Amino acid sequence: MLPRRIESPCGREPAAIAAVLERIEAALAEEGCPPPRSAAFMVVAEEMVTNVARYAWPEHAAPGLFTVSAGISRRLDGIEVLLVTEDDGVPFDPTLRGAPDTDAPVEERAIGGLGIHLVMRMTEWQCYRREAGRNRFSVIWRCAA
Amino acid sequence: MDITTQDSDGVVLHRLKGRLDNNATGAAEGAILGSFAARAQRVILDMRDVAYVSSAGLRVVLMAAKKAKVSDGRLALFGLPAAVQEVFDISGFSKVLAIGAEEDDARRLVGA
Repeated sequence: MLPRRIESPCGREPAAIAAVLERIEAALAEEGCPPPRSAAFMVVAEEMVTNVARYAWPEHAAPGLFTVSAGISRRLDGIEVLLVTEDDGVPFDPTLRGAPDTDAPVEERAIGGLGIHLVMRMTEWQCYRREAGRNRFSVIWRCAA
Repeated sequence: MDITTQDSDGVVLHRLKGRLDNNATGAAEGAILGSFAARAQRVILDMRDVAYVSSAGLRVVLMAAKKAKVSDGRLALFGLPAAVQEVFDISGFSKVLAIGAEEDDARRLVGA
């Protein structure tokens, strides 16, 4: 079966982000992904989309537009999603970000920096490419049947 | 996100319902961090109806834990659903926060 594909331009504002995430979540539900598992995927999707929206362009730069695409495949062993963000912002390779010190006590834990760590740990595969002035970050997430 | 707050027997209990995500953190931050305004507050978060927590939500929980430390207060959580537990495990929060299975466990953890 061909994967179901969603591709959406996305703005930096919260309403645009929420609309894209809702579309992906609805498609996952229609493909039969149970809500507790799709909740785990939506954490990944929120982190990836909000990271681009917040950090890809300098704060007062012209509003950035980026694309979010999701290919959802139903397989014998479950559901697989290929999620990709593409933007023309500053070069940034999430796969090179060091993991935060998750053993540090509360007093010493930095506030923030966990989003990319969650994406890296909750997905099966990650790939970053910088091509023709664009960042392209792809991940594969799987939900067992 | 809906937040219902009860304040009784010296414990502030916030029952959270919905998603502790990027959209919800403003309201959650105000309610949860506000409970540490006085010193030595005991605060419990009921997580049973939280569908998911993203890093924006983790940030609020960590800020609350830091506030509890510096104000000589206590913070405990209980009833984490599997998707929330996974995020807490990966981020290391399960090791450093007081987390119980049931409300009674959380009450014991804050010394109530």
